[in-house]
Amino acid sequence: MGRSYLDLSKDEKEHALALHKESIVIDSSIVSVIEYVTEDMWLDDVMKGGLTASNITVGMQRRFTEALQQIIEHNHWAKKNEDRVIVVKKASDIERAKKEGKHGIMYGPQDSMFLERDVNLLDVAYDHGLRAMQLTYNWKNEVGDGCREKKDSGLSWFGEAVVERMNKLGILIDLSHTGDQTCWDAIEQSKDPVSFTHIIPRRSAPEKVGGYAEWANRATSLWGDFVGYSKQRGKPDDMMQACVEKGGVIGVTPFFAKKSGPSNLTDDLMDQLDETVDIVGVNNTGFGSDLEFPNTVMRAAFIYKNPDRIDVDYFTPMDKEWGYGFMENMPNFTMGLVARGYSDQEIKKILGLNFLKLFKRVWGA
Amino acid sequence: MSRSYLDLSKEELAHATALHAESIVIDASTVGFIEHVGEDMMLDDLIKGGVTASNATVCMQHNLSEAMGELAKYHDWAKKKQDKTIIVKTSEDIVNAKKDGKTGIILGPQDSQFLEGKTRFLDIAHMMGVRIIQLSYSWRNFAADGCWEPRDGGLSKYGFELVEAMNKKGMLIDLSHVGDNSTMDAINHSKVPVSFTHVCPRETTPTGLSKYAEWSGGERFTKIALERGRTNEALQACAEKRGIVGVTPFFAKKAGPSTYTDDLMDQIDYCVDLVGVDHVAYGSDLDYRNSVTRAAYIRRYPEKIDVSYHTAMPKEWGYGWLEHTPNLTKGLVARGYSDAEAKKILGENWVKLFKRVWGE
Repeated sequence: MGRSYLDLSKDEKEHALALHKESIVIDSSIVSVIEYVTEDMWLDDVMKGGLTASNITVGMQRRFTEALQQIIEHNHWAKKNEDRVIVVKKASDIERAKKEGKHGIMYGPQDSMFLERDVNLLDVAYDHGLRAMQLTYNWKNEVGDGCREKKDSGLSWFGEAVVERMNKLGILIDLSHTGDQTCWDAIEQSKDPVSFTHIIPRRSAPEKVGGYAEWANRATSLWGDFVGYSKQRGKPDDMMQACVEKGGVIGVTPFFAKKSGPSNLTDDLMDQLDETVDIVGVNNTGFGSDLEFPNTVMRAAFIYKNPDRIDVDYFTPMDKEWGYGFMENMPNFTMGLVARGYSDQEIKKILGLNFLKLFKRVWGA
Repeated sequence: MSRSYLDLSKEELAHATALHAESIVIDASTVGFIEHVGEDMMLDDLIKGGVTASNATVCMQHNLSEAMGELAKYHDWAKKKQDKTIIVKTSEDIVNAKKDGKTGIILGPQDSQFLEGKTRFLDIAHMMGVRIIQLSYSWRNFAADGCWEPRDGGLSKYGFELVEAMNKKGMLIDLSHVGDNSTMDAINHSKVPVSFTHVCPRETTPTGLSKYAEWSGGERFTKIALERGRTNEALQACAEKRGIVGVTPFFAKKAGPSTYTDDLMDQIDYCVDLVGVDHVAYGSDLDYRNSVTRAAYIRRYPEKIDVSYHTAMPKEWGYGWLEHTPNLTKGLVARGYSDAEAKKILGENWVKLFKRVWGE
C-alpha cells in the first residue's frame, strides 16, 4: 500500500501546497464552459486550483465551420478576459502565464472529424490557435479507428496525410482515445513525439467498479460497460514505452482510477501514477484530468435540487474529495505526489515541466 | 391595485391547488434539455409543476441533418422515459398524458432556418414530430424579419410559401419573435389560426429595470423587451383569426418589490381585456439550461444568490423551475377568473387550437 495523501504531516502538507503554488501546473485534458450565464465559474475554478494552463476540448463537431466557430469564440472570450487568460500558441506562453498569474488555454479537439477529409483545413485551424488534436475519439473516423471499435484497421491514407501535416505545422498528436493499431501506426509514422494526454496503463484498470462507474453503467450507454471501457482506454506497457522513446509524454487521468470500496480518488490515482512512472519513467509522466466541466455544472445543479442524493448520483468521476469535479482541489494531486515520496524536482516535472518540454519540441519555443 | 396571489384565503388556496391538479396545463414555450447527466431533472420538474404538456424549443440549427439528429435523440429519450413522458403528435396525446400522469413534449423550433429554405423539408420535420414552428427567431432569415432587426420588409416570397405549406401540412405557426410587418403578413396570409406562444403586449411591457433586467443588460434589455412585445393590432388580428396569445412572464417583472406572479397576472388581465378569455394562454419561455446553470451557480456561490440572475424567474419561482407553475393558477383565482375561464387559460385554449390546426 502506498502512503495516503491524507497522512501528510503538517510540515509536509505546507510544503506540498507551497510547491504546488510555485510550480507550472498543466492539465492536459479538460472540457471548459465559457457561456456567459455561468459567468467566470470555470476560469475562477481552474485558477483557484493553481492550474497554469489547460488543454481544452473544442472542435468536437462534424463540421469545420462549427468547430472553427467554437475556437474563435474562445479567442474572443480570452481577449475579453485578457487580464486573466492567454491563448497558448508556443511553450513560452505557458511560462508567461505562470509569471503573470494568468491561465493559459490551448485548443485540443479530441477528434479529427471536423476536418471533413481536407488536410488543408488544419492550416486554418492552426492559424486560429489549434495546437493539439486527437486523431480519433472512441469511434472510427476518416483518419483511423477509436479504442471502442471492434476492429482496428490502423491509419487510413488520409490519416497518414494528417499526421504528416500535423508534424509540419507543429500540432501535437494525441492518441488517448485511439485504437491500438492506429496508435502504433501514428507512433511509427510521426516525425515528432506524440502524446497520450489522459490515459491509464491498461494493466492498472480496476477490475471492480466504484460509485461513479456504477452510475455510468446504469445511466448511459455512452461507454458501454465501464470496466471494459477502462481497459479500452488504458494502453499497454509496450505502447506507452514506444511513445516515450520518441520523446512523448503520458498524462495520467483520474477518470478510471477509483477502486471499489472506501478508498479515495487521490490515492487511487497515485497508484496508477506510480505504475506509469514504473513503466515510462518520471521524465515522461504528466497529468490530464479529463474533467468535463459541463457535467460538473450539472452535478452542482443536481445537488442543489436534490440534496438528499448528494452521494448517490455521480455525473463526474471526481468525487466529494474533488468537490464533485472542481479543479480547485488540484492541490490534492501534489499532496499525493509528496506522500509517494517524489522529490520536488520530480514533482515539478510531473505537474507540468514534462509537458512543457514536449510542447517546446513540437510547437517550437 | 389588483389582488395578489399571496392574499388568497386558505380555502381559495386549496381550491386553486385542486383546480391546478385537475386541469390540463400547457406551457407553450420552454427550452428543454435531455442530456443523460441531468437524469430526469426536467421531467421531474414538469410533472411536479403539474404541466401536462410543454412546447420544447428544438432544431435551432442551420441545417436539416443536425436538426433531425436532435429530434431523433428526443424520440430515443422519450422512449426510454415512457413512464413519464410522450412526444405529442396529436391533441389526443395531451389528453392521454393528463390521464396517465405524464408530461407531454411538443417539438417546436423557434426558427425555420433548419429547413434550409426548402418547404419540402417540412414533410421530414412533420414525420419527425415537429408540430409548431416559429417563422423566424429575433433575426432575419430566409422567410421573415425578426423583431430585433432594424428594418422589417415583411415575409419573403419563400416566407409566404412556407405559411401555405405549414397550413397544408397542419403545423402551427408561431410568431412570438417575428417582426411587426412579417407578423401581419403571416396572420393575413394564413388560412388557419396562428399563435404567439410566448409574448407580452408592447403596450404593457414594463420599462423600469427589474433586477434580472439589470443583470441581463440594463437599458438594452428594456429595448429588447419592447421589440419582443406585440402591438395591440397584431394581438387582435391573431385573436380574430381564432388564434391564441400565450403570455410570457419573461418580460413581465416590474422594477421594485412587486412579485413576479402578480406582474404576470397584470399582463394576462390586459390580454384578456384586449382579445377575450378564449384567446389567452401561457408560455413560460423558460430555458432549462439557464435554470441548471443558475442552480449550479447558487450552490457554488451561495452568497450571490440574489445578486446574479441567469434566469428571468426569481426566487418565487425557484429561480426558474416549473414546479412553481401552480402560482399561475393561484394568480388566476386571485384575479377572479371562474374555474372554466382559468382552465381555458391554463391549457384548454391551446388544446382546441392544436386540434384545429394539426388537422385531426
